[in-house]
Amino acid sequence: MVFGKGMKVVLWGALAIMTPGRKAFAQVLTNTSEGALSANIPFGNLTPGNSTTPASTEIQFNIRSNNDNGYRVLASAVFNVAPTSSAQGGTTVSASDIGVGISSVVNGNATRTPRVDTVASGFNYNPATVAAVNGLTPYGGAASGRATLSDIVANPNTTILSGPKIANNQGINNQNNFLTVTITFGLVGQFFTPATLSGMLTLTIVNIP
Amino acid sequence: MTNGFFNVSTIKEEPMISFRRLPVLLGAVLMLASAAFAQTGTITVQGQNPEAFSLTDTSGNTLSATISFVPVAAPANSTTVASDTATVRMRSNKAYKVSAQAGTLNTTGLGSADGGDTISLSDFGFGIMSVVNNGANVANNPGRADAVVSGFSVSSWPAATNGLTPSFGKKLSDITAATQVLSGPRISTKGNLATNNNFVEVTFGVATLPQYFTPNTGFSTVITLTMASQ
Repeated sequence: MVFGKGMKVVLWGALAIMTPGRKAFAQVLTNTSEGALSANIPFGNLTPGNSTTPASTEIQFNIRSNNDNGYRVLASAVFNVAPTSSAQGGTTVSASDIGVGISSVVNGNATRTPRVDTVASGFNYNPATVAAVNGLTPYGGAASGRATLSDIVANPNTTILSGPKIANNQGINNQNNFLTVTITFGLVGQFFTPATLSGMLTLTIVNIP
Repeated sequence: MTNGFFNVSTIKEEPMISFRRLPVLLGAVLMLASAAFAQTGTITVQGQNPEAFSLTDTSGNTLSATISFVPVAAPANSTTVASDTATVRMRSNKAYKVSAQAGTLNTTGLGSADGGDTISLSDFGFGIMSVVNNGANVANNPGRADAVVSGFSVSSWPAATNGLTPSFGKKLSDITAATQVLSGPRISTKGNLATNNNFVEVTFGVATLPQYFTPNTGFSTVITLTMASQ
């Protein structure tokens, strides 16, 4: 097979980009054990209680990027409810009842500083600490400063976090070159229509071009 | 150099890709490379809203109410019964029914009957005095159809005739076994036990006419209310 000079340049460029350990830009999103992020958030049985504190759970993951222009974390989501009884004039749980927020971003020791990582508007809160006034869902959506899963379902590839270059390399063997991000989910157990609920949040880290 | 058929000198060798297109191609490859490195993770959210029925006091706490006739009024020249009530809040995310069951009437300090009558469960009227179901987060509102079982609806207690136990619609002796007294459609649209407008508030009443029953220093029974799916 014969390549012209132009193709050779392109191939070498691509090879340089795709070769781990080279001076190239890349980004990595893993769980906190440096494996693929595939986490479950089991809210379990959401029996209504006499409390104004939402049920909550959180997921942590690590992000690495050595792209000079920085990174963005995108989120997409799907949500499904399978009622096991008719609504009978009541309300069935929906994605808008599940609060989603980035509750912390912790810098590794070898990350570039000073850093200005920006949590997207509406996602910069901790759903676990929002009181359920009158026992009802306290999350009004991203526009109100309390994002829900519905905001992500309605807007695939929503940027929820962005920032500058994280470190000079993105190797996952380095335990100091990443940011640890905590996403917290909140849901108030209520007298919703009997149902099972499930959803999947997909996170993707990409370069800022 | 020949290729077998043509004299090479007659073929103009050109680069496979024009250098003028290099920036575009390089950009495309960079984008592909970037996409190849874009790392993705997934988080699965799971949960269940179970069938839920709740019967609480008016503070959302476990129901443990006392209907008290203490001190028991002495028999008087009256046709009016002594009565008391207990108010409960009911919530559900499904059609419901409520049953009531009275335990044995226990007495303390019981004197000798001497041929007379001792107070018993049949001397107590029992019923539902009111059902309030118009909260903002009550389902099927307005137009709800909470149905009190015939005989258990009490707007006012009957007057005694001849100073004897009146003819109550239902007595505690009618509910010595679990007996359905109320039913209805789903109550709560949403909210939990802290929500102040997603319940049906039911007031149960018990009444009796003080009479010359065998002396005692106290009597009591426990009425157990049970809420379940229809």
